[in-house]
Amino acid sequence: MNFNPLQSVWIAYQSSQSCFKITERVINRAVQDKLVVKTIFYQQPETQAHSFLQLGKAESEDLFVLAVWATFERFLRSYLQTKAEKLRDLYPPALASSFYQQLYRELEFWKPDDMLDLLKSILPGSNLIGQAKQILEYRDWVAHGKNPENHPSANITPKFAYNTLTEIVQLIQLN
Amino acid sequence: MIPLTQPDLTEAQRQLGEQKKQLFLHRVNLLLNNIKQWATEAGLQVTAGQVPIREKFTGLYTAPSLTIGLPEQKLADVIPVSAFVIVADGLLKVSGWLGREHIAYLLKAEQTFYPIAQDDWYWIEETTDNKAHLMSKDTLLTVISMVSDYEF
Repeated sequence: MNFNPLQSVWIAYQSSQSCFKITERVINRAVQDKLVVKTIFYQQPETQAHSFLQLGKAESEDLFVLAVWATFERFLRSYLQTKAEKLRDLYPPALASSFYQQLYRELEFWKPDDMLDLLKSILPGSNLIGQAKQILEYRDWVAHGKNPENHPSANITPKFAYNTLTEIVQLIQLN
Repeated sequence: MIPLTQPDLTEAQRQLGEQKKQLFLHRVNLLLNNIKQWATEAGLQVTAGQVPIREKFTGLYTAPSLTIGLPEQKLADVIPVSAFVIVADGLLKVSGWLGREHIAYLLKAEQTFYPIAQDDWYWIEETTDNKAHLMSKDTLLTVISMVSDYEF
């Protein structure tokens, strides 16, 4: 079984969601409780404390999509850089080395959209790449301040983003 | 002032948005009718409401929602979220004071993540495994417990 780099991001997300639940239970019992000392919830009216927590939960969902995308994108660049190592075997060797170094560096700046298009050839007939592009669009929308006049094409839940990108990672690892 | 619809859409995109919205609202109405019945059978009170939704291909529209509770305590809101969502063909959320769960309309023919038997609404369990539970009275009560800590 290959290592899935996205799994730790998903566990981090589940962990933060669990922390939110525990905090909700604490607030429900007593905002003044010692458990919330030195936190934003201390001595807040209960409704205000819940409202703060709701804000945090909603934001963490969008930030998870950002984080899982970033981890996926890093995986993709590293995968392509590894594939480019074959260039080192080209003749003449002096050219091969600099050719490889140049491509390795430039891969850091390739557009995510273009990298996804490259993957179409190894994922034929799949709509995974289309879904990944919608995750990218959502990621860009979040990263650029969630413009209310320009919504992304589709809604992205943390679980569906994780499902889709994990599936692509696993299919890539088979190649 | 936010425009009601996005000005840069093509006619084909508008038509797609309208069709998808109508199908979404039809399926939401069927689900909410079932939820009303299941919740009432469980001795819960149900109040109907409406929520605004704004999506790229539909602009602003209104969808029906439900609030479920006991006489003295609200347990959960069932709120449609979007007709357009990856992996599924429509999304709702169930929110209580404790948490949020998602219900998604999954299509068997297009489904690669969840082993489902039919096109329908499913509760998507947010675990590492891919678990989708067909919406039923039992599933509804489990979801309400998940978001409210209320045990049936």
